[in-house]
Amino acid sequence: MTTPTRHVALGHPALCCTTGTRWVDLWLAMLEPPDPADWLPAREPSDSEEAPALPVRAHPAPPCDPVALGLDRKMVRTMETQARLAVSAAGQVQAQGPWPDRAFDAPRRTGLYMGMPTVDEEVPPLAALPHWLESANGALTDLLGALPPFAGLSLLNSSAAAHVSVLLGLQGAMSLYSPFCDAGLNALIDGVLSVAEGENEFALIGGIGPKLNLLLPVQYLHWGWSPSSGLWPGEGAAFLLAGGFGALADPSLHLTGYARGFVPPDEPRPGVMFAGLLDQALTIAGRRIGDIGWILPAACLSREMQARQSQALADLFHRPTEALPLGQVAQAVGLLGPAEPLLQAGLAQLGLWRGQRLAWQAGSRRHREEPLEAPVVLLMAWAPHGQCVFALLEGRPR
Amino acid sequence: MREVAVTGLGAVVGRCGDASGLFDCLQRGESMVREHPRYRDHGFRNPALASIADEVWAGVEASLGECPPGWGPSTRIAVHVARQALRGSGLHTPSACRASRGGVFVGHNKSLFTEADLSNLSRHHDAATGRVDLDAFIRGGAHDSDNHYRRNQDTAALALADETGWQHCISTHGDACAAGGMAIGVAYRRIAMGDIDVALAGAAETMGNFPALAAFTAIGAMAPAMTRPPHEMSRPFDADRTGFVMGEGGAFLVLEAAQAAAARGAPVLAYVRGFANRLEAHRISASVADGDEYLRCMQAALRDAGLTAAQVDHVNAHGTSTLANDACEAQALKRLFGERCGRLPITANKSALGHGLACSGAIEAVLSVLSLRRQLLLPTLNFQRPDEACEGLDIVTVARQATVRTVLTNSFGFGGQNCALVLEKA
Repeated sequence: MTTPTRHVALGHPALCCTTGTRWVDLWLAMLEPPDPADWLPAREPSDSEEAPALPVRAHPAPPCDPVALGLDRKMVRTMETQARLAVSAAGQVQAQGPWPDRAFDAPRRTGLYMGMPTVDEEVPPLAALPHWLESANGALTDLLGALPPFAGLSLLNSSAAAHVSVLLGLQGAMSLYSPFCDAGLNALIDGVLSVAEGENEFALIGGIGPKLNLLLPVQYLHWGWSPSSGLWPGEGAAFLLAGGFGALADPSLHLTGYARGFVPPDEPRPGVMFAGLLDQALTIAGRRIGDIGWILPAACLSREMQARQSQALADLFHRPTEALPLGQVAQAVGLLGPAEPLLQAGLAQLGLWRGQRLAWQAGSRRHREEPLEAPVVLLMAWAPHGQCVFALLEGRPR
Repeated sequence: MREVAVTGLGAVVGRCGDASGLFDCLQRGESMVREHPRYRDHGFRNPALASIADEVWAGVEASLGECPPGWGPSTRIAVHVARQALRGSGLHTPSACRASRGGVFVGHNKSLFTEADLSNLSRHHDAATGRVDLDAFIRGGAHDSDNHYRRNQDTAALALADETGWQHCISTHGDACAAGGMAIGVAYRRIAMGDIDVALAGAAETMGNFPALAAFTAIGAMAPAMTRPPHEMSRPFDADRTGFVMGEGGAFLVLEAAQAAAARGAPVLAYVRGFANRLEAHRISASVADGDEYLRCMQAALRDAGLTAAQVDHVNAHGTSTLANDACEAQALKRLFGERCGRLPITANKSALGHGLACSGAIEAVLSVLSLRRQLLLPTLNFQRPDEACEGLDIVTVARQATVRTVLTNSFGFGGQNCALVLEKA
């Protein structure tokens, strides 16, 4: 028994990432990916002191000004990068119109579902530490005085959600998910379910990427990422609005099937487990594998996991990996964690409108445009710890 | 919607290593709050903390044996406590677990660097340039790359999903002080709607460390100075309350479709009847003073349960001992229950346990289930006289026998994410 979700519409996608805030620019960037920017003077660690230093590069998001969205300047001082990204993208959902007025005229019926990552950060700030380290007692007062407003607390997922709910006046049911790409798809599924099950009339659904903190590469290295993979850290956020059928001005996307599970990250042949999850999602959607016309998997951090994911998908679809209709936004905008599936959902909507898909050209970062001939788009996320989520989206040409 | 039963409980808090023992301690009016010497030495004016006692930690470690290096304190507590709950439910064997379509729902907030991590990192920081030599940090020997896993929010959920094989829905909730209640409520919802048949739901959090204490001290949420003995510092709804005391611990429940529990002859300890979670859209640091947002959340939970306010027999309050929160919750309770509020027993467990953030809602849910089982209400310590905002409430101050059919338990999160659960006697 699973709650049907086909009658819930997804629309009004908004994004904020290195390519800006327009979906068409993201589309173009996937055809011709921009070069990442030099970022930190950090180097990939190596066992050999003589190893050449590799610069870390990144896809930073453009600066966003929450004050321009109407947030109080004092409050903005307490906002952390991820909260700024969140309000920037969520604010666009409201601003883009034509707008389903009821969503924000009746905020008690509008909920919030967000995926956000965890990034290790130094709190208190490093610059404030030497005094504290040098003397135990007297320095604490100085240290507390050096803490920025809401230090530590501004990093909580709940703080980012609070900023979004205050900005848009959301008072419905909510849930926050962490920390990897699967969190974005969990937010999408549960947001849609909250509408389907009558908990919310509308649900704002979002994913936010990690911030470019100096410790981010250290964490990524731990999960098997390597600068030589060609995938670099990025910043970004993407949001969608879910509402009942007919409630959105331009409903063009529907979550028709989904499955959640666990596939160990070191599983040598994940295809069998992927097959079970895909079958579950297809059964809910009442579709067959041949109905899938576009596959949008989130990028894996480790090159080995990425290769196994691609091979498993090739096995599932009985095609060589280079012939899979596979698109990946990370090639153009960087590794965005929970934001990635939401960006791919927005991209799916654009592709379904246009009747086109973007297929990744193996061995390069570029995609090519092709006709989208089958009506179902598969989103998937396989997180570094093994959480695995599949979602099927359907829409119609504009 | 399917009926959802509670079939197992587990908890570790302070010097109590299991749920039943914890209830007994609280029934006797014992507090878990102590002065913590490390934080006194750091210079905190309020070093009161309800930390997990060394002897309890020793028991946890002995029971777990060798753990994966990425299991930090909260994951170890979560696994230990979840095993208690699974044993109680009779689902502690791999074959029993794997026969079920299950999920894992864990409340755990983003953790911060510990003082040891900070100290290590700062040695590689050049204050003049503001740069950090990451190579030296990584190669320096003191850096332990598993430290990130230990703080990572989803490590506990994944460990439990691996242990039980319940992988149909793995979910980590980071809704600040409401995260534990949220995890339980979302698990209830997924079972009730038929997505899964069984779930481990709860939270573990160990925020008794320097950065967390510094952060909450800096915004004035914690009691500013130890003007009383440590065990008297947390005083929800009392006129002399000055802020909360940090706590830590973990609690888990096994939730199960009632029909499935009955089919396998499982012990039903209570039912989850209703749940609501609501955003506030007000301010980051304070709720609407008239209690409107808390009221709306409690009303929604009662609607979900199909009950009226008149059918609630007991409230397990969020009750943090901060001026604003308790006043706001008191207003909401008075508006919800009207003149009956003076006769409706209310307990705030944080008076004895401190505020464990994510884990507090889960611990309070476990204690509420035990109140339903034993028909016994736990005391709110240190409540002597209310201020004007908290007047007119029946705050339970000594353990009280009572006929309890339904408990409403509240969790209100920093930033304005609130939830309420309705639990019913089996």
